[in-house]
Amino acid sequence: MTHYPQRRKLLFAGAMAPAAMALPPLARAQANDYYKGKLVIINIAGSPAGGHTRYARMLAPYLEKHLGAREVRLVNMPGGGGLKAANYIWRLKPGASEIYFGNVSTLLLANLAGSPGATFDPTKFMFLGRATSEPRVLTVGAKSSIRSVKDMQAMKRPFIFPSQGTDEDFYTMAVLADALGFKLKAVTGYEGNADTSLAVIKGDGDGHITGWSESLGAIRSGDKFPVMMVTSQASPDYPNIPIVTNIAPPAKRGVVQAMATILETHRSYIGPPNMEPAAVAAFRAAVNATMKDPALHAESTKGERLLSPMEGTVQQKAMAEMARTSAALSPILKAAVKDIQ
Amino acid sequence: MIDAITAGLFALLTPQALLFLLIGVVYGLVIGILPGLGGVVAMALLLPFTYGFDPVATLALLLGAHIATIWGDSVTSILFSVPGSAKGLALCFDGYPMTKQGQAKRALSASATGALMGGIIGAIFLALCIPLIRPVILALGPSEYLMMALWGLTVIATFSDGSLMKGLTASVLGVLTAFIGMDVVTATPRFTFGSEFLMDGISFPVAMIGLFAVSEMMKMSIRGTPIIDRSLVREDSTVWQGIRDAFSHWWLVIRSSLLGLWIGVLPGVGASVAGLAAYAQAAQTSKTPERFGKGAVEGVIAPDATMGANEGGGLMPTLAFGIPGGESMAILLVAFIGLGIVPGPEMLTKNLDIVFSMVWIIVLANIVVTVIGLGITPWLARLPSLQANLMVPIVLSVCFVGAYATRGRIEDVLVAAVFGVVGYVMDKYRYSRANFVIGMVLAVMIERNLHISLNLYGKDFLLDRPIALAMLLFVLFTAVLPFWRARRKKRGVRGGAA
Amino acid sequence: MSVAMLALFGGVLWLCQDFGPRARMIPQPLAVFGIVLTLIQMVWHNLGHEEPPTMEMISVDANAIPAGGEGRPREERTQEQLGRWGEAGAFAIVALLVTMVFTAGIFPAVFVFTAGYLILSRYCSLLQGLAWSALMTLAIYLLFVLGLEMQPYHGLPGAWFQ
Repeated sequence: MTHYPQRRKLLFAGAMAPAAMALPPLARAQANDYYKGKLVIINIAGSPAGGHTRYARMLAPYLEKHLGAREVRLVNMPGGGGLKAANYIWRLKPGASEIYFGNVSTLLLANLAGSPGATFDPTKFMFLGRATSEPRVLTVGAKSSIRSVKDMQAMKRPFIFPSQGTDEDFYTMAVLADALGFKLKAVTGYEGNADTSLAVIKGDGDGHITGWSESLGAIRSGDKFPVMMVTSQASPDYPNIPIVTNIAPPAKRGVVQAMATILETHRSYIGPPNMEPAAVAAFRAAVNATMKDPALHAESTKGERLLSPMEGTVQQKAMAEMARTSAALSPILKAAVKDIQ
Repeated sequence: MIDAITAGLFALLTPQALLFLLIGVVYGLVIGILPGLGGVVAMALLLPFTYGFDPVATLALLLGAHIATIWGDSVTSILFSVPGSAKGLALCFDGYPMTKQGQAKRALSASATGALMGGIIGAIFLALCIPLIRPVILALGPSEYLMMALWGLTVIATFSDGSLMKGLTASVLGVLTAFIGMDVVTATPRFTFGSEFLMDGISFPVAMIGLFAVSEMMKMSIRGTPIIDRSLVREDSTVWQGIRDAFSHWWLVIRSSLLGLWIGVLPGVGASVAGLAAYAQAAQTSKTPERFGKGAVEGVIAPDATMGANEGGGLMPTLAFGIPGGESMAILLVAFIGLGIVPGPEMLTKNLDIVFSMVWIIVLANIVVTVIGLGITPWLARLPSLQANLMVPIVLSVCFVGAYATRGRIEDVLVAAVFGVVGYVMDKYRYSRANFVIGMVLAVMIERNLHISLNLYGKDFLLDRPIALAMLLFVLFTAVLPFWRARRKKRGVRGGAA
Repeated sequence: MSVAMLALFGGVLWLCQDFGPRARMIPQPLAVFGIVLTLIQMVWHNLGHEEPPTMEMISVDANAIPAGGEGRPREERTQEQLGRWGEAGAFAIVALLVTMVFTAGIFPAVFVFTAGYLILSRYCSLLQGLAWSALMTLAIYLLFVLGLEMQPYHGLPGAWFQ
């Protein structure tokens, strides 16, 4: 039997500043005391059968330990691709010990694209720390003549991109087409990544964007070819694949960087905008401590639920940066949605 | 290949693997019988328990549970006309009339035996077809899927209760109901009236709980009599009758199994379509199509055989490309990765023993399900004769809890109630509820694939896709066939009278 | 019934005006088709035909066959066997259970509803009704909450408690 190789465990471990250690001991104790004996509700933006829930369940006992909480209760709040849970958190009264856990990128994108379901300003949320982030990769079918971004730019016809609908991949592709200067034709309506993958392998579509691990099998077997990584950092996992922030023309780097930042928020804890500063500090410290817990690492390795943490304060800064540069994103996303209507 | 087949079997014949298989099957049967919950829930809940065990034992647990949910679904469809999920819908058409005629034991055992034969035939052909799987998956695309969905629509004519107009109206209503929510093709919220809940659309299982189960309970509370009044109708069938039925319709079983296998192989088509297509095929090829819908045992055997074979086929895109063909397969893929199994083309060459272990698991799980099923059939068959005043509160309560459990959204309880009233009114004024659900199931598939076909191949996509064109001609032929036969029969009767 | 159908399809048609050309590509013609179907039925009915036009085909309905398979018309059967409260009672039962689920939460509603139904319908005595109902509620609770990890809905008391 072939064994799945041990891949990166803590991809962004270097990017993670150990905040709990940076705090003076007294502040740390106070911060951690905030949730002592309290009930903390984590609203998971997905169904009990989904991936967010699997992560939330793995993390919950460690989070409970490091928060010192009486109980960390998981509540599933699926709906609208996370919008229901986000709207709920946005409307919480001050002092509520409720946190959102799930895909944050979709919230940011829904807001920028003017989605009718998003009634919040995502940059005003309190970012409390990331659990995982899956690097995204643009792949083309093995039969395709495209092998690089240059090939895409030189095409006489538009690049055909099979997609489910207005998901992350759809918005990302729209931004890439604008930034890298290639023509794009999005074909929406596919059932899911299975369907779009087949369309790319068959040659019905030119290429699509997925999580790295989702396409890894097909890349190894030669069914798909990776053209570029939609990330802001290189990784030893994919040394020979160009990184989008390196190949975008200088004038467009800001937009591409903003997109990469959005994608890299992925599976995070966020709190309501009116969350008390002491609560924010305590939760961030607990998430940091959780991510460093050796027992959690052992469990994450065993269950192949990899972690790639990012500290809440780092996320918040990146969000502020993103909010400044994302003004240029909004019209691109809106135009892409209009195109398919 | 022979080596792989035997190695696959021996890997499964360990006490741990067999025990896991048994646990999975029993668990799956319970989940299947509960309204609204299907194989996806069964597998998702088992997943956390699978880490650290032998791969074959883990797969036996997961696949065993998944396969058992199918027959669990059929049970409630046959006994109460309450499909546990969209898959079980086709079983209501003839299974429930059989129950009403005092043939519940026969229907249940025919269904279990049909599923067993389907599972085994599917597994055998799957083993034989492994080299063909990749080319077939690559040859068929959105245009062909569109034709398959259109074929499913031809069943509408079968369930029109004497009035094609009302039958079609019911289907139109079903299609429009399916369009409630965010349209994935164009990112347009349709018929949502600004509601966050409606953005996610109406869930099929919840709508079916309402249309069939809630409305039946409403009727029962009015009548005050059980589904079967034992003073009028005696249960006079036996388990053996059903087993014999399945074996005597061996050709129907083989055809249905092959249909199920290939529908399973194609990602994005789905088991609910498989059940309907099997039913359409059985009714359209029958010499006595007029018996269908009134308790024809073929109408029970064909969908079950198809769904039995469908599961084996469903594994193929997952194994051959690492592409999960449905939600339950996506969960299986997570388990594969946890077990160190890398799906992809090598799976069908180097790791054939694991593939055959899975084929054997499907066969053994089907055998275990059937043995348990046949064993409990005499008890299950007594349920429809329970008094109405006991049935109504229990079934209504379970339905509403099930509706809530489907997505964990309390609004779904209201949706189930509304659809209960809609189902009651439709039934009273003879608008077919089956047609409504058929429209609902196929609507999204038709819309998606039509848009993709137009977008990829242009307006004349049928000319570019010869397979799709041939399929369209076949669909038209099978749609016209019952009308033509009926007309010929009528002429024959007139001729005979003259 | 036909008027309700016309209003429904008309409403769909009206709502479709707000959609883009691709989003209304299928619902709009379907709504028109629904209107045409309903109009044909109305005209047919007003011409004095009892049943809408039937096509020569297999015409079946899983629920049209009463026990024994003898074809008595459905309306007559329901009228004849109407319970004490008739249709209004059936609607009220469903409405009551839904209201109870939303206000009292799922499991209290199930318990009270089942006990009430069993006792008021004189299926069993007061004590037996309570016992049966408690047993069933417990079974559903164990199955869904412990077995299937469903998070119970607590209704208004839940909201107050928080």
